[in-house]
Order: sequence, then structure tokens, then C-alpha cells
Amino acid sequence: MTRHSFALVLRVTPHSLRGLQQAGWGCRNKCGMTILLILLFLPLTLSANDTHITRANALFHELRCVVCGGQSLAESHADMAEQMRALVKKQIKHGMSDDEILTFFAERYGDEILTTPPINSFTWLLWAAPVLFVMTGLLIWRLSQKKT
Amino acid sequence: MIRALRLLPFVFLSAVALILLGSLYSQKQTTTLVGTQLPPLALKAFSPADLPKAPMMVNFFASWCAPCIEELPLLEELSKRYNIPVVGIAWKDTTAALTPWLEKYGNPYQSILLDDDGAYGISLGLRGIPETYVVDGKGIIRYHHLGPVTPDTISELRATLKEFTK
Repeated sequence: MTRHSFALVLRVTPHSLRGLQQAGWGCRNKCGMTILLILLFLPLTLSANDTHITRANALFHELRCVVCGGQSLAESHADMAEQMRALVKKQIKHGMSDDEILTFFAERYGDEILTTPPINSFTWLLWAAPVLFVMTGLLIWRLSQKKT
Repeated sequence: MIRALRLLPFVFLSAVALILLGSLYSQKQTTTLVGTQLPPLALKAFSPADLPKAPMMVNFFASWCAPCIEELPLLEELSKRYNIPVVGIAWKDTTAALTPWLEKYGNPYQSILLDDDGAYGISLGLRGIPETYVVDGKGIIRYHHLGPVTPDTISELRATLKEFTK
């Protein structure tokens, strides 16, 4: 069986080669151009994909999983988180900016879905807390220094 | 003066704790889209029936979801009582799994659509399944019910339906 197949290949090969050579001469220029274009644009496509992956990974860390307390989309194994990650990738592919994607999720799930909540009437105190603590500490220290 | 200032961090911390506790208890986990237009139900149809016109209830379910079975008779009851159709959206489910499931447990849905990739649910602020949305005659989302509709949780949904199906 193997010998027979080998013989068949040997019989067919020279003819096929001739055919291929003829066809090759006919489209040499076109084929060359196509290969050149592929080689030219392949790195660009790959780099765009890399950018998309980097952006998606960054967004996964900026969005919280809605069904698992405290975990980001990047950390969660929940089914819902998986769907959200897929949607983020789709949105990036469709040309949405990072801000647009974050707004899309915040509009549906509220600011609580963002791992970095924006400063608003509810969160300003949390953002201001460290500064206020340091200032109060300094004031106490200054006043106690003056007294002594 | 210094003594009073020393108390300041504690006062401040208590205020922060109170605000956080308050927001924790007041926070409803429902979608922020209540009061806005329902996104077009442009999904693949499972059942052949035409989509009913609003007002309607939109219920997310799946054949792999055990609590979904529990709410099927209640959805049917609400639909009949308030004369409102229920559109079922099978979230991440397959036709092959849905058919025997509906035959076994009953079908309260006027129409069933398939949310294959789960994206439509997320666009509605879905947190899990089952969940039910009440949409008024103008297509505005009026109410978002988290979790299964049970005899214990049905009252608010009943009140909403009663309000605008008068």
C-alpha cells in the first residue's frame, strides 16, 4: 500500500510541478505583490491586537465583578464576569474608547462597578480623608509643640 | 483646644463610617436604567410568536437555572391577572436544552428570545438570573426585580403592575 502510494506520487509529481511552474510564471507579479502586502500589514495587525489585549486587560482591572464581592473582572471566575470580559473585548474591537466602555458599565450598574470611583457628592469624603487626616495631625502636632 | 482637636479624627472617622453604613443600606442593586427606554429587543427568536407590544414583563431565565423553575407559575399568574405579556429571554442557553425544559416545567412566555452571548442582559444591567423587568406602554423600564419571583418577594412587583395596568 505504501509502495503503491509512493509510486503514484512519483508519477504525478513531475507533471504537477510543471503545471505549478506554468501557473507560477503567470501570476508571479501578483503573488509577489500579495505576499509583500501581507508582510507589510501583518506586523500592523499584530500590533493592533496587542494594543487591544493590553487595553482589555487594563479595563478588566478597572471594572468590578457585580456578583463577587470586591473582585475585579480580571480576578473573577464567575460566569457573569466572563460575559463582561467578552463584551469589553467586543466593544474595543468595535472602536469604543476606554471612557466610553467604563461609562457604558457605570450607566447600567452605577459607579460601584468602577474600581476607582469618581469624585462626587457621595465619595468626596473618602477621597479627601487622607489629606484631612494629615492636616489634622499636623495641626495637633503644631499646637502641642507651641504649648511645650 | 488641643484636647478637642485630638477628638477630631475620631469624629471624622465616625462620620465616614456612618456615611458608608448609610449608603450600604440604602443601596439598591437594581439597574440604574429604571426610568429609561428598554433597548430594542433585537435578539434571535426561539419561539415563533411575534413580539408583544409594551406594556410587558421581560424575564431573564435559563434551563440551567434552578430558581427559574420556582417562578414560572407565579409569572403565569401575574400575566393573567394583570393582562400583561411576559417576554422570556433565555440567557446563555441553547434551543436543544430549552425545548424539553419548557415542556417539563411549563411555558408562561408569550415570546422567547435568545441572548446567546449574554450581552443584551449586560446592556440591561443584569446581575444574574432570574431577573424580571417591567416595561410600561411607552417602553420605559419601570421596575427591576432581582432574583426569582417568589411569594415573599412578589408584593413590590404586584404593586408596580397594578399601578400602570389599571
